[in-house]
Amino acid sequence: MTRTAPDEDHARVQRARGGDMAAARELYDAHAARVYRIACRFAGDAARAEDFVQETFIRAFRRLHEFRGEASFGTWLRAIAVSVTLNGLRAARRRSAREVPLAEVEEPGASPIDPSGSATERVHAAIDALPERARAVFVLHAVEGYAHAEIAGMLGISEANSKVILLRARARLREMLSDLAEDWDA
Amino acid sequence: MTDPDDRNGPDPLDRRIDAAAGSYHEPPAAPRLDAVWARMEGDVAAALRAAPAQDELAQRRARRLPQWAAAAAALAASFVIGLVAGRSTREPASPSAPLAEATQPAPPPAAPSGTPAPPVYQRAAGRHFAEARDRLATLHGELREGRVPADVETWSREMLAETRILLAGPAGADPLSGTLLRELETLLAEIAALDGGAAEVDAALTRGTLEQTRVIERLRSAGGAT
Repeated sequence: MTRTAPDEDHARVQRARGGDMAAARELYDAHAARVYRIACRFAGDAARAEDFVQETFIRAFRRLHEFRGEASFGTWLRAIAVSVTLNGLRAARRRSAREVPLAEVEEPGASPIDPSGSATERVHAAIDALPERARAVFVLHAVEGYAHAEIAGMLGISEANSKVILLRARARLREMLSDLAEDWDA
Repeated sequence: MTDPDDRNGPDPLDRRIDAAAGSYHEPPAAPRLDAVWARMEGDVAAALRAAPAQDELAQRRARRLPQWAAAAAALAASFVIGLVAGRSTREPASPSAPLAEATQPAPPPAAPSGTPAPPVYQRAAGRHFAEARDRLATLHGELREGRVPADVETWSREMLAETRILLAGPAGADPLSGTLLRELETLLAEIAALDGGAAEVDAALTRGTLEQTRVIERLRSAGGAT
């Protein structure tokens, strides 16, 4: 994963604002992998994640003049990525709900967890069953390793709120997977 | 990058869940990022051309109000907002209003250094704390009985919005009321996520927060003190 110093990014942003495509490409190279990881973790589909990466960067470059440098460029960009991805997934759910007979539409967060699945499959199904925001905080923190301060910036919530949401997500996962504790202990 | 104390929960089950979660929607080892760039390169060039040029931005900034005028306008606006909040108008929030609208984080307090708020703002905060205390005490009683009131989302979102209005003004910068307002903001955001059909575990967590933080007692003191 490429890391980049904030000063380098600020210089690239200045150049890109002047229409420098090489600077835009450097920003993309420095940050696309992390944006892609977030999109992929949320979407669960590589092709769709690529679409979200594309939309994130186009939107970011269009709004480059709004970037003030108060947060790092990476944090600012990932906030756009989270918003683009979650909104895109919501729109896709709405579309599929219109296309599927009402009786077949599953409530969000109500996906069944097959008790005969492997432990890993069951954990994944339980994460799928979390409410959207709880799933986002859990995935960003426990899976992708972001700190609460950055998650708060990405989701537009307070750091304390991010911690509370994670606590709840963990409690729900424990509740859904309580029988696994015995299997794991055995 | 991660807070070491909460990377994993204390429960061994949490650690095992986290380990299994590592492969959740795992991204491919070699994503086709060059192909994505090739697909969007033309759009990026168009986006950069469409963005306002730097000299245009500088002209826009120059056309803005002088700094002292903007500061005076902001002060006047926050005074009016404080008075409105202080009157505690209680029109019920629209149930159709999106939760995100009410749960947007408040801007940081105007003067985080801790300037005591003028009396009018302290009175507004005091009235707000008194109402919050009554609401939370009632909610605590209901949660102890194993019930989640049906209207909890409506009033908590309304109170959350008012808390944020107060936080954005001088009461948010006050060393006494500012801390309590920020704590109340977090608590109300948590409560706003409850609804009549809330999971038992969420209701239990909220009840635990109310008891462990002793927020009702502290609101009682603050309501009397301001």
